[in-house]
Amino acid sequence: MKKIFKKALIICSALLALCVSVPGVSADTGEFPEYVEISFKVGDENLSINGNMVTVEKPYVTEGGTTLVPVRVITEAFGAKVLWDEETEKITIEYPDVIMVLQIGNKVARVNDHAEELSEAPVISDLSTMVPLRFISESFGATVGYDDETQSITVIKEAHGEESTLAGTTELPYIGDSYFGWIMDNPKNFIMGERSFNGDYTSFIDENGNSVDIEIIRLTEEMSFDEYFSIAKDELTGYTLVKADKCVDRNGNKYMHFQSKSYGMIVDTRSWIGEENMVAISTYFDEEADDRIKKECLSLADSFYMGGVFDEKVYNLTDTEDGYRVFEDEKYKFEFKIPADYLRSGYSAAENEFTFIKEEDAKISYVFVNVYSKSDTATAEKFAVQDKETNTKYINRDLVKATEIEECTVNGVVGYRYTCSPSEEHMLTDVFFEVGDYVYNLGMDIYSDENTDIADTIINSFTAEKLDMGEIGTILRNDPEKTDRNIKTDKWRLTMPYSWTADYDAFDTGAAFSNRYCNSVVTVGIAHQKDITDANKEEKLSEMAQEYADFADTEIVEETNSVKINGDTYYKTVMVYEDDTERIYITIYITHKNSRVVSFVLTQGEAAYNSAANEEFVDIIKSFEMK
Amino acid sequence: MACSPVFADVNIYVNGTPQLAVGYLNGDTTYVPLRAVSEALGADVSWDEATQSAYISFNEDNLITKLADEISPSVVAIVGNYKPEYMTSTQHNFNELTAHGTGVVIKSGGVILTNAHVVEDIENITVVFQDGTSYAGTVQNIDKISDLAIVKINKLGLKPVTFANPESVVAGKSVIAIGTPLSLSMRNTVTKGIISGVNVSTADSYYPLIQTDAAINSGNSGGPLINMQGQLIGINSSKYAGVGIEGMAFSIPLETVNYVLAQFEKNGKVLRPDIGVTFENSWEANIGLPTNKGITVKSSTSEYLKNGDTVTKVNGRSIHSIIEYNSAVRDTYTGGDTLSITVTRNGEETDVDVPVTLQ
Repeated sequence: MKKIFKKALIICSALLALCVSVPGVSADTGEFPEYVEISFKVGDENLSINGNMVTVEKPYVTEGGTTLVPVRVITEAFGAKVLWDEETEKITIEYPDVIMVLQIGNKVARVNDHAEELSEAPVISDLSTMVPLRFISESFGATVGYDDETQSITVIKEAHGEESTLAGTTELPYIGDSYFGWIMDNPKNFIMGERSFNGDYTSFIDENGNSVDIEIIRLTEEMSFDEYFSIAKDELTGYTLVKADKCVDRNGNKYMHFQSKSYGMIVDTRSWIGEENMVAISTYFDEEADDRIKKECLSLADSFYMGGVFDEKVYNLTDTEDGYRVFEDEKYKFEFKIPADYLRSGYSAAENEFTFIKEEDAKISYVFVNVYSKSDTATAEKFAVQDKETNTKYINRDLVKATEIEECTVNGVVGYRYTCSPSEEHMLTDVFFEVGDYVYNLGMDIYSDENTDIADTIINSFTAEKLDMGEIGTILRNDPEKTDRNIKTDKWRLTMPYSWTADYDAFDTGAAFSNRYCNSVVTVGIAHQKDITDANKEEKLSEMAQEYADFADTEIVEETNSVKINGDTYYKTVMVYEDDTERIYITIYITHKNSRVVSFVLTQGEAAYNSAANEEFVDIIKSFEMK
Repeated sequence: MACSPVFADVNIYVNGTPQLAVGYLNGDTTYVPLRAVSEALGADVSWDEATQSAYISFNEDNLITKLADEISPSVVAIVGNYKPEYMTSTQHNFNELTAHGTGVVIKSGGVILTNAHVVEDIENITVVFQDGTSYAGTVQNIDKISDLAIVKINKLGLKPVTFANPESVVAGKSVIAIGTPLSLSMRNTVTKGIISGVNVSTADSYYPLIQTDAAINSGNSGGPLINMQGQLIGINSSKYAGVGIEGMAFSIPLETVNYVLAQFEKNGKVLRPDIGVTFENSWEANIGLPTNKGITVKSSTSEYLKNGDTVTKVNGRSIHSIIEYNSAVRDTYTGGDTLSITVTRNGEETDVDVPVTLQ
């Protein structure tokens, strides 16, 4: 019994020794480690490979600048298998997706089915096979870096991240968007081409270039399903119409199905008319395409329907939750919740300005975050004081309800906040936070019955991390210079206060200015009029003012009365009319001098009426000089 | 009867590209595999069993097709979603299938070269090969000044394109541009032209460009300009095209490509030596006339150079325009704290070593 036992032990340990000496067994747990890191100093025989110190035949750099390492470095680091052919002196290296064949003394290597030239041929040095490090590492998907200062080489292969295409993301049988309410089969043979910021455009492309798009379009007019159908059908005149049907989906929702031919492509569109949006799924494929491909595209469109249930079988594409989505910026390290129906605006955006807008019934609401460097003059509190003053100055005194600047704490950060609202529905609020060396201005101009709730949700969700000033640099807020500008032409000149900007270069016959801070526009008009004399002046000019009144359905607020400015008699009238969204006030000053009729018209939304803009309007008139 | 000779493998390069096929030497004669070498040259080979004869035929017409077939596996389409900085359009022309640009494989381990402007405004990049396979891509390096960027995909064993010798790029030579214009269903199209000019300056490019009449548009931008040997001579860029000017397209030459790639490898991005000065061209240089004049300092934060100074050489190389200055720095600056600038001030010429900051 004892004898047998001993023999077995010897055999076991012999086997064990064999295992250890077999080259190419990776030190890592997996066969091909996902994360690979090699680092060493040139000329040093001790290398760090995937966290372990390994001693090998010394790597060296050739005259041409190529670093050669013993092939063992490659096998240990990447887990690659190496086969050696004594006769041809060829080294075959096997790695997932790559088979590489190198030969001692040969600069031409084989990679899969093509040849590549090496900067240096492999050599045998002291019984070790030395191979070019960069070529092999890069062929295995690693990056090679060299640090001049420490004279060390680092090779890194990152574990690859998640696939960004849908095909790699989910195995669920259905996909959909719960915010817009659509569901369809998972397009398994398609990759996701595009997905817009707010989800109103999603597209999938297959390997043959055929595509399926889902588009959400906001409806601006209220029309019946049949009316939309006629309009859509009319738009397709000029194309060969294959189908034009009114159908019903599996949930009983009506939709239109159009199929048309154009330039050798078939376009198949199905559209649902909802309360606010039209949801359309379109698929495009070659007229000459295989039946299989046509079937695939069309069956995908066939599977699309509205009003379905989002259970565990449906992969939900939406990034919204309870009507909000989280916006985060990696560079400026902040995030906050924004209502799902706001779009990101890119119009002339600077990198440190993030603006989101929503347009509904011709009212534009917006939410923005601007980031600035902190300094003695640029602090959260100082900005709050400055901006509150500027903004409230230009709001109708009768309507503005402004709060004091309040200190508030949001997610551990102290902020300064004020609110001014021209009406119940319209709320303007600004919050300023300081985080590290920067000031964040989170501002909102919201038209909504729930504006307080929305503002609170947005503000309470805001978080920001300290930024590295070296990375971000200095960002100054470009407040306009508080200097007034002289506007002049050959025939006249006036002074435009700094809070206004010129809409276009002034002409001899007119000019227009807009206020930076509120909805007020001044137009100046100078026209020859010979038939006006001192006698009929009042009558004629009042008539002209009345023309404005007739233009829209206006109501007189202030009857025409005369005002003397700089020795000239102006006739002033104030009127108001209802626009789709608000009341618009028009203030006219009109006079006659040097055979010309000179008119100044101030057009303002109600929120801006009776504010500092009106005083500045009179200042503009006072500064007017004509040759 | 010949005794068996010792056959040593002979490497074969066709038009500079190494081949898998090898030849052998027997006495003074090199023997090569007929089909492999002929086809690499763009010729057709047919074998007549009856007469045991090989027929090699070359038709110039077929050359372009063969080149395109040869290079296409290395050319990819680049697609993605626009970043939110761009307002989404709600009306999509239903004939439009989007491809943002083209790229070319330069290393087998998944390294793709393209234009910076193709990838800078998109995210969720997908790279699509001619055979339809697609992979997620990430922007690994980007340099907007030269309009070049590297996209990395997780795929190994790809076929890279071979780089030509920059000196072989001269006006008059035929070239083809391979790309993915406008519609993914028309993947990998080929346009042909000649090199109309080298070292061409345009108003908005930092470095000189290759001018070609091969058609380049926003779809094949970022893709390769290939010579008749199937080698890469430039990366096409639609960024520099004049609006409405036909027959005038531009490619980024290898001098710039090689420089930028080396910088990416070394620093992860391009670090250019800045001497704190803005320059102005002579009026001749501005309108493109040849001139001996140097460039004038317009504004300077450096104590070594003043407004009005004229710079005529950088690191020993004569320069007559801002673009020439940029390429001189590109070619001669290999590191270090200073640039050697030859300055003329009040009629006197001196050489100054101006310190640089890398940015």
